[in-house]
Amino acid sequence: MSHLTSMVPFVTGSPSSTSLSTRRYRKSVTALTTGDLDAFRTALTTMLGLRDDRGFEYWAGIHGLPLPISCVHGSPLFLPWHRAYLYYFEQHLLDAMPHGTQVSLPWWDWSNQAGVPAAYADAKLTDGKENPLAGSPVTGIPDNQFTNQNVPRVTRTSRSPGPGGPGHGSAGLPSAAQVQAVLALKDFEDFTTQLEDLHNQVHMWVGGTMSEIPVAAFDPLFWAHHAMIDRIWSLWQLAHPGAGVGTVPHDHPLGPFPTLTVAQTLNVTGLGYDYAASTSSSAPG
Amino acid sequence: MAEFVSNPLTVTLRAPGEPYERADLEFHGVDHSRASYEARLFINDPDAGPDTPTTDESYAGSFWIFGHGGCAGDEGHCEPPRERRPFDFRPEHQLTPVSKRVMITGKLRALVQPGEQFTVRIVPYVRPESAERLPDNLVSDLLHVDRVDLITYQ
Repeated sequence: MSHLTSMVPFVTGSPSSTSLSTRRYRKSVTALTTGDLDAFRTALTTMLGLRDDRGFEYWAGIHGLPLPISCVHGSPLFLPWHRAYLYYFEQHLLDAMPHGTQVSLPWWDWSNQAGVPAAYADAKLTDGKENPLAGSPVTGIPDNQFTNQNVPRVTRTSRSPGPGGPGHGSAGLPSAAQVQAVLALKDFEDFTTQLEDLHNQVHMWVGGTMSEIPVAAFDPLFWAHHAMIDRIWSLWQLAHPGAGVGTVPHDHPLGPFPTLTVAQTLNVTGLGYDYAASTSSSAPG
Repeated sequence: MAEFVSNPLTVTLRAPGEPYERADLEFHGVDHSRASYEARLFINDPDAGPDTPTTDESYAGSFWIFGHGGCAGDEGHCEPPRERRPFDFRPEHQLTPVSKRVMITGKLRALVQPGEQFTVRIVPYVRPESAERLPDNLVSDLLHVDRVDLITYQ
């Protein structure tokens, strides 16, 4: 066991060993307080300014370009890999803030079919500054990785949200009923296959760079979408205790995240976070 | 500007004679190397195309492909190996074809009598804004599927 591995709690699905007092709670973007949102935007802006392996460019690039493209799709590893990816990204959000400041990834509940949340849609903030959640530069990809045989080079993310063609109605996003139907599935392989399809549908609904694997993760909305996917997996795990991850070996490494295996992604509280409907804090006195 | 050329495929299957609780269409060997697309499934509708709405009675469901977006490497970079060598412990090639599953229980019951043959028309659909931005090779001749199975459960 490496030194780094020994620093990460090993989780096998049992109740968390994480201290309650240090647990981070991911919330719906529509439930964030002004303070939550300010902290998240500040952390993201700090990451956007870093050009090294702590920065947004580096972490967005792991999913797609620059090569190697590391994301995992169409596989039972889809959910564990993306949970590890969000975990590492969130650690760097925390690093970007003063010690002790809580910040976590919000989730975008697209199943309410309200479209892109205002926090991510508005180009400008009330103070006139650019909203870092509305889009980001696409940087750090060598010219020779745009080959005329793949997606065209872009300098900034774009979206074109809307229904995916004739007949899908005005919303076009997966509905709450579809999410419930997926949550009711009992077998992991069945569940992950159907959930990944809803995930794909949302990527296509957002359109623009979000619909293209090589550059999708450069859109800040990517992380809120994947927090929703991770939350649905977490809800499914609570509803089907012991259901596991099918035939995936628990000791399977999740590259390029050197301290995490599949086993360590099986319990979100073991990774120091959970999904909450709301939080409210106060100190006596 | 690329032109999206739909290349729908039609397969013929047979519904079970016995009652079933669930019916799935499984698609194996699905290519995902190019643009993202929706594959729409129409039962006994051989003329269905990209303009056929999903409100049509023959529409049975969709699967979605989050496309790899073409090849960013040199020649051969995006060709999955034909077979895996012994002791090759690397992750699977990114472009290994995938399998998809679509539950069609209600539609199969409604549109196909027990024991009858039926067709499934698979219609790929690329959003127009994507088709406009992407090079031709990413949006034409998208649909490649090795096999389609109907699996029912009692």
